[in-house]
Amino acid sequence: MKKIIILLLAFAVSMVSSAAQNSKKKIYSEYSGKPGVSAVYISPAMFKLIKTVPDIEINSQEVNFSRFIRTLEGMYILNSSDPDIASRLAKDVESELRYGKHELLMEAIEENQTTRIYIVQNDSIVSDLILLSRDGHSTSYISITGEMPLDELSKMIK
Amino acid sequence: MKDVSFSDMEKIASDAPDRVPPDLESSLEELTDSLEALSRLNREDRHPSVRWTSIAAGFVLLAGLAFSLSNRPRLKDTFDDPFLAYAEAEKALMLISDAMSTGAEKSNEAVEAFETPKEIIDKIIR
Repeated sequence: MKKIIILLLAFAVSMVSSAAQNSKKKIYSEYSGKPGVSAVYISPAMFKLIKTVPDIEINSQEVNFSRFIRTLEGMYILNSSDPDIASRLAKDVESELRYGKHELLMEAIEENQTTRIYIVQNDSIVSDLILLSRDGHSTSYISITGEMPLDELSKMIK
Repeated sequence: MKDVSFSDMEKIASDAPDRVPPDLESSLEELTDSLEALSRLNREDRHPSVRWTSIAAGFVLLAGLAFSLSNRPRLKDTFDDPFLAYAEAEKALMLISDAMSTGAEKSNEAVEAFETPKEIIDKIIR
């Protein structure tokens, strides 16, 4: 009986720890094929290939992202201008954030646009970053995972 | 026991021979054997079906885990070319940078707006 309980507990812990990653995949899978939704997925394997890409300095850019990109391990992007889909996408993401370990980093509200950035941080490393932006009838969702140093993240501020 | 005096008790104890039952040794052996068997039974499953139940539960859990893993959505990269993926990642980071910069700008404006009342309060205090 004790062995069964220990096995069940171990199973539950493993399920909870993979639940966060599963929820992103679930949201992406649910919305990526729908009409009116633009979706981008970059896998950990592709980010490993990206690390081999030589640095390209673009002088017109205010911020150099090349170092930051090399700390990333995965990226999901969803964008929809369909009011119904945009609304459901925002609700699904908000419910994912409600039960996850994310904390609100910043919120910017301008006219009818609300942008929120959430992170999961361990010491000075950000392992997960989610941007959710609602602009009228459109929603943008960007989720990135990796080993992002906080000081590199702060350099993204112009 | 109340009617027997202490001296009588002493006499009884010294006089009465101790009679050991002939089968005491075998009885004690049987008792210890049964106690050992009982303790072994407490350590092991009381019934073979309990052991098989735990093994079956383990298999069910493993099967459930394998099923859930196999049913996870397998996602395909949007880009096959790492250069294109890099460009798209940069675009996304640009959006995040714009949002963070807007937030930082607003917080700087708030700090500046706070400076005026702070100066007034400092003047009043002086």
